[in-house]
This record gives sequence, C-alpha cells and structure tokens, in this order.
Amino acid sequence: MHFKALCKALVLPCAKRRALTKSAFSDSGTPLKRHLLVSKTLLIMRFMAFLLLGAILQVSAKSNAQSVTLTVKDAPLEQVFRAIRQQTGYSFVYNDRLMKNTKSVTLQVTQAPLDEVLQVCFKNQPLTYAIVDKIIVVKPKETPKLEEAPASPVPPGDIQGFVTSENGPIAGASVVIKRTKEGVSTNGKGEFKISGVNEDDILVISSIGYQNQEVPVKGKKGFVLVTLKIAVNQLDELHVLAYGGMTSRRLSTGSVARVSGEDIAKQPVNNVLQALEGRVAGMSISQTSGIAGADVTFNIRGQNSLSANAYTAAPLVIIDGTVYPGIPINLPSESGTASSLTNGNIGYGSTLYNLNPSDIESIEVLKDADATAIYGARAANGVLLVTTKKGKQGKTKVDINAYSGVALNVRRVELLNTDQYRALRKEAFGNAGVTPDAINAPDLFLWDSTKSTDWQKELAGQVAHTNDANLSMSGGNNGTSFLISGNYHDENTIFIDRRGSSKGGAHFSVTNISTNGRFGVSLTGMVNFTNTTLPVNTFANSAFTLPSNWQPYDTAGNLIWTWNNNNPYALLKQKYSSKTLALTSNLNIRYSILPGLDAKVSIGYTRMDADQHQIQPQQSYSPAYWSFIKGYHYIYSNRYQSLSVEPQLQLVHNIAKGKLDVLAGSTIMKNTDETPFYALASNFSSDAYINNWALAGTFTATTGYNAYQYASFFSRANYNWDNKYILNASFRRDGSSRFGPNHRFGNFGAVAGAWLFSKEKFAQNLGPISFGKLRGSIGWVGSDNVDNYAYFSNYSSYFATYSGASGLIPSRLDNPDFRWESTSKLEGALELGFLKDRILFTAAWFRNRTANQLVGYPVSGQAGFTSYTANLNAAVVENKGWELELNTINVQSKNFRWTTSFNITLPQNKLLKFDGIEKTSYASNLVVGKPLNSIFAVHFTGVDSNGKAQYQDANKNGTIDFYSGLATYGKGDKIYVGKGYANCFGGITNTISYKGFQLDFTFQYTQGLLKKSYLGSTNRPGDMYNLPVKTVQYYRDKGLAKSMITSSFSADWMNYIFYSDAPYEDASFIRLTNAALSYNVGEKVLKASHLAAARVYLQAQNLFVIANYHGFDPESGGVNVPPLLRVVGGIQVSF
Amino acid sequence: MQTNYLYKSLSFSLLLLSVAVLNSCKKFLEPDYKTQVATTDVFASDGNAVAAITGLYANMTTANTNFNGLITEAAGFSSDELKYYQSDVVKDQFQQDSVLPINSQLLSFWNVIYSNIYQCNAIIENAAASTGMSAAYKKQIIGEAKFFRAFGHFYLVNLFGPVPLITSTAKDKTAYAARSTVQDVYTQIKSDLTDAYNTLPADYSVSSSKRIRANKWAAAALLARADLYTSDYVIAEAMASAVLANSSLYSLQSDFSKVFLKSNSESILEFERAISNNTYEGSMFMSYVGYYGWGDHLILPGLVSSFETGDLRATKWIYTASNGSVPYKYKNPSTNIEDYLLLRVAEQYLIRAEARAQQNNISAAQTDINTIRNRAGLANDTTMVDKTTAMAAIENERRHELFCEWGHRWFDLKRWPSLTTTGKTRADDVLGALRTGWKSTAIIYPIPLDALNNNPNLTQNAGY
Repeated sequence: MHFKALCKALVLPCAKRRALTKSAFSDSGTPLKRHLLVSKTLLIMRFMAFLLLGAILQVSAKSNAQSVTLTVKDAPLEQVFRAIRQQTGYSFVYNDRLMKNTKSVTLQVTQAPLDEVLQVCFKNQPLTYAIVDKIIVVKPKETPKLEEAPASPVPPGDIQGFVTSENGPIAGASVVIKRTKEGVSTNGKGEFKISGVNEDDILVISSIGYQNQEVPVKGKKGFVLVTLKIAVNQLDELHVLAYGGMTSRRLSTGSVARVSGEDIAKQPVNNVLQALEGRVAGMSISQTSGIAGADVTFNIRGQNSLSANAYTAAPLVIIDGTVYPGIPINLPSESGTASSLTNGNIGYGSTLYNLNPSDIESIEVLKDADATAIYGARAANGVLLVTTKKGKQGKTKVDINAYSGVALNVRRVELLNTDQYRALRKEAFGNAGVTPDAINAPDLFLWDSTKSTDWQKELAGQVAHTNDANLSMSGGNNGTSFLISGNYHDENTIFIDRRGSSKGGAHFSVTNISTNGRFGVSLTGMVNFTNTTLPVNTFANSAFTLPSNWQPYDTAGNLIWTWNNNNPYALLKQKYSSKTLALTSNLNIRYSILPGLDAKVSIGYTRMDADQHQIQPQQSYSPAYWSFIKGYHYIYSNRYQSLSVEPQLQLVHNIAKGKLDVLAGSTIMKNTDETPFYALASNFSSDAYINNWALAGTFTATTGYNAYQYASFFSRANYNWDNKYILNASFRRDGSSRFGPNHRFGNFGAVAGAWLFSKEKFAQNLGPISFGKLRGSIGWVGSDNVDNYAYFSNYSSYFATYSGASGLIPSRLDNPDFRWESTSKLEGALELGFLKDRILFTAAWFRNRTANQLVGYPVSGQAGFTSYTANLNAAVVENKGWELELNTINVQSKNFRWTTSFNITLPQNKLLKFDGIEKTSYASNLVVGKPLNSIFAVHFTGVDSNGKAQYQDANKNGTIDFYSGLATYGKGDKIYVGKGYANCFGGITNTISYKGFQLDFTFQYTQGLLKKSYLGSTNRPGDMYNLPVKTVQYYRDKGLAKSMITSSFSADWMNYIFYSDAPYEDASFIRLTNAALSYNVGEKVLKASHLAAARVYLQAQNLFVIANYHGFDPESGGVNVPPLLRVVGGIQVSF
Repeated sequence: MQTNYLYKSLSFSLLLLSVAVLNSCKKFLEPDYKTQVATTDVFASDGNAVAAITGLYANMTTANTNFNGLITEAAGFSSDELKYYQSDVVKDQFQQDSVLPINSQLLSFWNVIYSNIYQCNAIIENAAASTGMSAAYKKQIIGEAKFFRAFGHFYLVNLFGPVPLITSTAKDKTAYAARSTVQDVYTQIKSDLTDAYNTLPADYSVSSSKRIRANKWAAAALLARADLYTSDYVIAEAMASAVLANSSLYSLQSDFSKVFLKSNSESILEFERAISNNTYEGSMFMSYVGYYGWGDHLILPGLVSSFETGDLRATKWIYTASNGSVPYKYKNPSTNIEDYLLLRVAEQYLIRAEARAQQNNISAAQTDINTIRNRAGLANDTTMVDKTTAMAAIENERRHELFCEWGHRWFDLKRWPSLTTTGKTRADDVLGALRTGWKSTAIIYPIPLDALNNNPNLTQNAGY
C-alpha cells in the first residue's frame, strides 16, 4: 500500500469514537422547554434526511442490480453482512459497538434485490443504513428520546460522518466547520466526528486529490455521508512526497514534478527514464544508446559536482519508500572490485531498466530544498520517487495490455563508396609520400575493388522487434485491497545478429486496515528479471568505418583479419550475457496510538543480483595480432542488498484555523555490494571447452565486498492555516560510514512557505485569475557520494597473480580529512490559474550552490594514483535558472477535449568561485564565472597558402600551444568556445480526445549547446577506415585536404580534431519524441462483450529530429546506436 | 489531561530513544569491510605481508605491459632500431621524434611506474613500522621494494629526464613534488640499490631457485648500470665483477636459443610468466610473422647490416620475415617456456668493459668484450687500443648484444657524448643522420600533459 494512504488511514483513533456514541445520539440533558421547537426542527431534519436517503438509495438502485440468495436462521447480523458482502462485493462500514444491541436475523430469499434484503435485515434493528457507491454504511437510528427533546435553541452539537469516494473510504480527509474554521480528520476507515457544530453550519470536506465539497448539516440528524469526486483539475491532483507525505499543486510548498502512470503508458519505452524526457522541467536525461538495457544518465537541475561523473551526480531513487540503486551495481566503486565488466553496447547497464513501466502509478521528481531536505545527505542531486500501482477497494478487476512493434535507425549516414574510398586512400599515400603495398594497404591491393557494401545497412540496419504484455488483477473490500500483476517484455536489436533482451516480473501489493481503523499494514513488492544477450562490442562502430570493398570471410569461410586486425563478424562468435534479478519490497506497519498520533515503521529491502558473462573464443581474435589469446571467459557476479528500518511518529493536530502535521523518525540503513566472484578463465585448449572453467589453462578470481551504513534522524513539520498560509520545515541529521570518525555526522534542513493569495479578500476581483500562489524555500542538503572506505588506508585483492600466488595492492590514496559536501538550495515560485483554472502557469526560479565539493581530486600519477577523495573547499558551483510550465485546456466540450502542457527550463551553470584555481589541476578545464562543462579549444582561423590549418595565438606568445592550458591563465591558447549543456530545454505535449479517440504527441527540444560533429567521431581521412561523404567534403571545402588526408601520423589532423574549435557544432534539436493514438471502445460494445474497458492503440517514439547538427544524433552524439524510431500497436482490455 | 500526559511521555521516550540510537549509531557506522584489508593488517605478520610483495610483482608482470615490452618498443622506435610497418597514431610519434605531451603511451609509463613506486614505498614504510613482522622478513621485502623503487626511478629518469623523486606514500609530500635533478634521482637510486644489496639474500631461495625475485646480485647488477650511467666507473666495475664472480650461479649461456628461457644461467632477474602465458614482447614481435609471414615491428636495415659476418646474434636473434627483419630474442609468441628478462649476465660484461675502458684499463675491457664476441661466434677484438677505439668497440658490442632490449640502445645514445660536436650527444650523431626531423631535445620525452596539469610545480621539458 501507499505509504501516505496508510498515514492517513489511521488518523482518527477510537477513544474519541467511544465518546461519540455516548453523546451524539442521546442528548438527554436538554431542558424540556425547548421541546416543541426542537421537535419541529427535528421533524424537518428527519424529512430532509429521508429525502436525502431516498435520493441516495435511488442513485444506488440505478447501479444496483445486485441480488442476494440467502437462507439463515437466527444468525447474528454481522454474519448476514458477511454473506451479503461475499455475494455482492458490497462492503459494510460500521462501528463494532453498534452491533451489541442488534437482533439475530432469520431470512430465506432467492435472487432478491439487495435493497429488499437489507430492509428486511434492518427492520427490527436499532440501526439504519445508507448505500454509498458500493459501501453500505450502518448507523444508529435516532432514538425516540431525541424527538421528545425540549424545544430549546440548539446548542453546538456533534456530527458523525463518513467520507468516501469511488476508490473507497478516504482516510485523513479534512472536515472543517466553515464558520469557525475548526476541523478534524477522518480515520483509517473514512469516519469522523466533529464537535461544536451549529444547526446552520456548513462542513467543508476536503482531501488532497479530490474536489472539495460543502455539506450543510441542517437536517442531517447528526450524521453526514460525503462522497468526494476525484479531482480532475491538475491543481488538486495528488503529489507524493517523502515519507508518505502528500500534497497537490495547489498546496505544495516545494517544487515537485509529477509524471503519471498514464503518461508513461503512452510511451513504448523499455526504460521508464526515457518516458520522462521532455516532461519534467529541470530534468535532463540522455540515452547513451538505443539498445535496450543501456545506460541512461539523468540529472536534476544541473551538474553540482566538479567531477562530471554521471554516476556520482545521480539523484536518489526511492521506490515505494525503499531505496533503489539508481546507479549500476557493477560499477567498480559500488562492487568493491578494482575493475568491472562493461559492455560495448550498453555500458554498465541501467538499473532502472529492471522496472516495468506499467507497474508505475506515478513518478515524482523532487527538486528544491523543501521537497528534498528530509532526505538530507542523499538529496543534493534531487530525488526520484517512484510509486507503484496499488489495489483499490471494490470489485476485482482484470486488466490485460499487450503490444508489439518494430524499431529502426532512421539516422543513416552517407558513406564513401568503393571508388571514392580508393581514391581517397591513394591521395593519402601520395600526401604522406609513402608507397602503398600489399601489407600497408591491403585494401588497395588485395581487396576486390568491384565490391561496394553498405556496412551500415548490413551490420546495424536491421529492423528490431519488440513485444510487451501485462496482466494485472486488483480489487478489495472490507479494509483489504490487493493487486497482483505480471509482465513480459522482449526486444532485439538492429544488429546483424539480432540478439537482444527480454525482461519480466511480478508486482504485488496487499493492504489491510483493521476494522476499527487503528491498525494498518501494507506490503508491496516487485520481482523483476532481465536477460540480455548481446555481442561483446557494438557493431555500430564498424558499420560506419569498414571500407566498402572489405569482405568478412575468405573463400574457405575463415574470418579475414586484414582490416587493422579487426573483423566485426568475429563479434558473432563472442557473447555477452547479463542476467539480473531484482527484488524490491516494503512493509509498512502503522498503529494509531491516540487521536492524531500514529506510530509507524517502514521496513524496506531491496536486492539485486546480476550475473554477467563475457565469452571470447580464440577464433574471435586475429591469430596474428592476438596470437597469445586462447579464449577468455569472464564471469562477474554482483549482489546488491539494502535493508532499511525507519520508525516514525506522526502527529496531526488542528490548532486554531490550521492543521499541524509533524513527523519524526529515524533511518537505519545498511547497503552491501558484493561480488561473490569475478573470475577470468583463459587459455583453453579448445574453444569447445570455453564454458567449462575446469578446462581453463589459467583461472584467476577475485571477490569484492562493499558495505555502507547510514543512520539518521529526521523530522518534518507542516502547518496549514486555512489552505491559505502553509509553512513547512524539515530537518535531518545524517551519519554515514563513508566518513572518518571526526566527520561522520552532518545536519541538513529546509524551511518553506506558501501563500495562496487568491484566497485573500483583495484577490476576489482579479478578473480571470482564479488561483494565485507564491511560494519559496531555502535549505541545505548534502552528499556523501564517494567510494566506501576512502578515508582510511587499505589494500584490496587483485586479479593478477605472481608465481601462482595472489597478492594485494594498495586500494587508493587515502584521505582522513574529507567531510560532507553541502548544497544550499533557494527557490521562489509564482503559480497562477486563469479562467477557473483552465490555464495553469508556474514560474519557478531556483539557485543551488554546492560547496565543500567532494571530488576525486586529480593529481599527477607521481602520487601513486591519479586522484584521491577530497573536499574542494575553495570552490563553489552554482546552478540557477528558471523553470516555466504552462498547462492549458484549450477546448473542452462533450465530445472534444484538447489540452496542452508546455515546459521550458532555462538553466545557468557556473563555477561561482574557486580561489587559487590557477594553482590546481582544474585550471586545465575550468574558469571562474564559466559553466562547468565549458568547451575550451584553440580557435581555428583558416588555412595558409600551403593548406595548413592556422590558429589564433590567444596568449600572444608567438607559438600555438595546443596542450598546455587556457589562455585565461596565460598557459596556452585554448579559449572558451561554448558549453556542453543547453541554454534551454523542455517539451510540449498535446492531448486531443474526440469521442473514443485520443491523440497525444510530445515534442522535446534542446537549444544552445555544442557537440562534436562527424569530424570528432570519425577516423583520420586516409587511414584504412571509411568516412561519411560529408566529412571528406568538409576537409576539401576548408582547403585542408593536403595536410590532413594522409596515411601516416599527422599532428595537424590530431590538433585540429582534438584541440581546436573546428569540429564543434550547434547540437540544438527538436524531436517528436512521442506520438500515441488510441481508441476506446464504446459503451455498447463493452456491454455486449462484458468488458469494463477496451482500448486499441498505436504508439511511436523518436519519430523525427529537426537539427542542423552534422553528426550521428544530436542527443547521443557519437557513433553509438542513436535513439531508435519505435512504432508499436497494442490492445488493452479490462473486465 | 490524560492526552496531554501521554503526549509528554511520548516525547520524552522519543528523546530517550534518540539518545540511545545516537550512541549505538556511532558503532553502527564503523566501516564494515571484508575483501579490503586495512593496511595495518596487511603488515601485521610475515604471513600477511607476503600478499603485499606478491601484489608488487603481480602488478608489474601480469597486469601491465609497460614493464613487459613497451619500454623496448618505444625506445626502439625512438632510437635507430625499430620501425612500425603500419600506421599508428601513438607509435608514429616515437618514430618521428614528435612525441606529444598527450601521447597515451607516455602517460601510461608515467602513471604505471609511479604507481609501482607507490607500492614499493608502502611496503618500505609499513613493514618498517610493523610490530608483528620478523626482522628477517622485514629486511627481505624492504630490500625488494627498494630494488624496484630504484628500478622505477631508473626508467623514469632515462625516459623523462629530471623527474620528481618519490620516496613516500604521503600525498602532501608526493603529489606536488617538483622535479629533482637527474643527479639527485641517481643518488637515491644508488642508495636504494646499496640497501638492497646489503640486505637481500645472495641466492634464489626465496623463490625456490627460480630467478624470479630480486636478490643481492640483481641489486648489484642494476647498481653497476646506474654507476656506469653516472660515470662512477670504479663502483660500476666492482659491482659487475661482484655479480660475475658468482660463477656457480651466473654464466653466459652458450646456446643463443636458450638465453631467454626460464631461469637459465644467464638470467639475474626475470618476471615469471604464468602457466601457458607467453612473454608480451615475444607476441608483440613475432605474432605477425608467425601468421602472415611478414612483421609489423621491423628492425631498421642499418642495424641489420651492421652485424659482422658470422655474428650468431644476427642469425639467432633476428628473424627474416617477408618484408624485413624482426627481433627474435623471445621466440614464442604463445607459450610459456620463456620468462621476461630484466637483467642478464652479458650486460654485466659490457658494463665492466665500459667501466674499465673509461678508467683506461683497455686490455681488461678488451677481455670482457672478447668474452661477449666469442660467445657470438666472433673472433677477438683487434680495434681497442685507446679509450676512443675501446668505446667504439663497446658501442658496437652493446648495440649488437642488447638490441631491442629494455631501451639499452636509446639510453646509450643519450648518455654518450657526441663524437664530433661538443655539447651534443651520440644521439645527435646517429639519429641526426638517420632522420630529417631529429631535434636534440628529443632525447627526453615530454612530461605527460595530465601530470603537468595536475601538478603546477612540474615544468615541461625543452622542445615540447
């Protein structure tokens, strides 16, 4: 179950309820005088209650074709309730106490309507009932005493009630007397009791995620039944916060972005992160490859750390309250081994690939100090809260969804054909003054000059296929709900060998709230496996660089190695496989100690096992160049486990016109990353034995173990005064085993406030403005993203042996002095709604500053290592910017609805301060006042009369110095030419629905960043590699053909490509990232086929890119497989 | 009232709980490690410390090729020995006297050799401070560590010229150390080798008679070389003599095909190759020849033609491939009958010859030269009459005995003065004639860019 739902569930405890039965319905102390008046009033009230009840019953009767078959004799009423529940799926809500005076029931009915059966059951009971949706609320009949009560002015009285919705009873809903602004919350079963209510009072019932409702108490006989409608307004949509907190866009004090499961479901992605692209302001995501399972790196609000390591900058990922490894568990820093097994196609692999996108209810991205500070030291890079789907009270529902489709690379490159290639090679030998022969130029002498193959098409131009299926079952009644689902997904590649990945898993969630609402328990879990089989390296590199007249096999069918000792077809003989199994589980137990005071404990356990194999038989190596290789078989196993226990106390109390919500708790967490073994078996006498390690001539193995402990206290206090002024404060004290004894603990916290000024009197005449809020937050969060044990000196095991013995080597350059990195976050935002909230606009400004940077401080290798962990006290990094969001309902009519959501992020990143930078290694690539990922290069100015490239002598010392450093520091000639991150990025999503049809499409855009074009990712023209036609033409157009098209080493070419600004190009782009068209089958057909819902759809990812960039792909940059065009068709059925 | 009381008692117990948890937290947060071993534990006993010294050798042999052939290759390209038959961005720079500070091989030499020196320093410091180790074992591993610290510094100073001298693991002392003078580096090298000489055993008992661990005579042999390079001819001669005096252990191998086999009589120190592993150098030179019949690393024609007729080294140590000559000292590109030799007896004769010649003991020098010549199937030398002619003969013999081996030729060319021009080196004579792009400054490689960037106290060598 949902953490926060549980929080709410137990708010109103029993002690108060006991009082309720005593006073609310037996008001015996009323003076006789008032009898007449009261009795008149009561008559009216009774009449109204009757009307109301009648209306409710009528409403329920409509949807209530339920019938009951029952034979009981002298059965207790509760037993009859159970029988009815089983037959109809309707649940009963009642107080145990009420059952005490009930009479037994004798009944014999067959196929009788539910209402009739109930009427019979209640006939002689001191009780009456009402049906709300599928819930039968049992309440006491008012006693005759009341009718005879004296007619005196009605004193403030008590009202009992029940709040429900189509999802079942609502726990934690606010019930406030409009006049006094005083209120209470509902308990775990949706019940409440409020005192001090006058006869003319109106109760305002609200709950986050639902539309408010006002209920006059007049005529309600001391009992109200409220059915809240789920908010369709984006302002009131539920947002999940840390530790079960929840808010809505209307009431939030911090910056939280939400992507719903429905938005995710429209995108046929294999990694849920891809579904967030273009949808979350401030979040940048990049796919490193279009292959399933590949690394996807992401950051929230820019790069905070000087070290550009995507993994140390990774946000914290929490799934249903449990920490999930957001970074690959086989990274050396995680696994505790000195090295790791990576794959040329997918890198380390993304752990989030394990998740099944269909299991996700929502993803909340927590950005500012207010939203993140409660996670303290782990929050500096932002937090990703993943909430999985949960079962809902009601009839059991089965949902089936399946799709199938294709993926292909549409960003092809025009490469040289054989004639063009041979001409280029000859030109290159001529320029180098070298005579080509059969050894240094087999391509010119030995290869078939009449053949011309498009290797791009051959090796990496296939159409990949993908299939996906999901089945889920959910439902629940009487305080218990459940969900079980299973999924399967497979996908192959665009490569010649078609190997690929499959994954699947199961997800479950069970929740129970005790009958009295005080005790709640929920267990959620997911088990997911992935099975990926790929070549060890990518075909994509060869696809662009293999000369077109090359051939893979000789006439005898053996691999040919004359292309630089390489033959991509050898990859067919090699195999990389990765199998992972991930379990995430969370157990929540909650007990209501007192009214408004809950104790809870959340226990999270995550485990992920990964087994990787890399098999490279002798036959897959050039027998000339790698003659000594007699087969390799790497086996790398990893096991990640995280166990956390988080006891918490929560107090919800109404003070004056406000509601105070205080949470205090602690976290004890231990993560271990083990490498049970990392082994290399080699020197097999035959490739046939490569799977049998016992037959390896050499077998070396190492193990790894990394443990990380974490202990903290945290607290959060939220005070909401009349939904007008909201104050939120959080504090956390964190202790981490990654720091030395003197630096182990750190304090973090935040304060935030929101003012809903549209609720002020002055704002009532603001014309079209229907909602207005100002909010702001300030806080400090931290980071301990460094290697374990880095503070003390130790040795670690080592792959290599000497004379049969294994040894240890020093692990690192230790440093006992480093401490917490700290980031201060500041945010201010204006949120507006226009035209009854049809237009919603948010402008947020943020500024994050990171100091005491924890970095791998680079040093010259002379220190024994090339870096060590340290704080950079002198440096401060600033990320600031604007995030604007606009959501509009453009058209809304009965059959036609068109909505648009647009977001834009304008980030600014810079090195704010770095005292004495010129004396550090950072002077080679950083300048104070410039962005962290600035591009510094020597400026290319043109060519001289000999066709040699000329450059700007920026430091005016008479020579061009490519290597020494930046002109700013007078060390070299490199100047600032641009930056690697965007001036702005974002997306725009349109949703258009007409009758049963719905069309969604999302454009994603990025503007104002530089990336290297083809030039930077291809080979030297003139070497034995093919090139894009444009690259060669480029050199000629620039007049560089003579100096750069050469068959031997040319510093000219190297400096031009690697140290000058020439290959950089604007990589701005607009991409149609997603388009989805679906049709919902109409009611008539559904009824005829006994279905609850049915939908057919067509979805596509990465449809096209508009860019001026001359490279493989403006997002993935290099030669890797770019994000693929993916088209799928599917069907979804519910019953 | 009751509620109030409950709240109060709850807050109080929460507070108590906090204090209790906080205290237990401190214990809970102590690092938990298994495969990593605290340095103090590694040096807690002799048995534990074995892992540290094994790790040192393992790191130098199995893990990297920098100590297993790449020095030979780079120095071969830079001198007048080798050329690469194909085209390669990194290798071409060495052949064209245009090594860039960004050359990846250069950085690899720098980082790998220094990381080895760190390992040595860690052993020296921690073994010395250990209370659980025996005095004898401390002596043993500190001696070996000092030998390899000297070995590392020797190659650094010969590749890069004046380099930072690193004798500590403390990053405050090492990370920003400026370049020491060549003389200071050699002083430390000699001091380390003298210590190793004084403490290491005079046999190979540590490694069961396999010549795979540095002993007293390895220290003497490297000391002889260091003294020769720094013109301390008396000690150079004495040390070479000390090695050669152990005739029961060391003698010239008469069969040329056996010089590089495991633990033969000519070997003073070798890196053992693991079961079924060839030497990297063997595969580097011979793989292509074995498969295609042509070689990718070819001996320059000038060197091939300089061998006298009948020189067995030309016939036994050079393989004639279809496109030229290939080094053939290590013959097996794929099996493990050979170990990788660091120090061998023949060099000691040549060191002693040169040391003697420099002390004007021409006849004694000639005796050593003849020993080498005779083994190569050549007649006694007749040219050595004075220092100049003796040095010419010695150069000729070193060039032919030690070609394509650990950069001997490259280092010789750099350390010998020019025969024609004062202030220049022999490299200027030889390489100036061989290559059009030759510059005198090319005798030392540039300091790698990464090192320069990360240590502002480093300065770049002239010419880069």
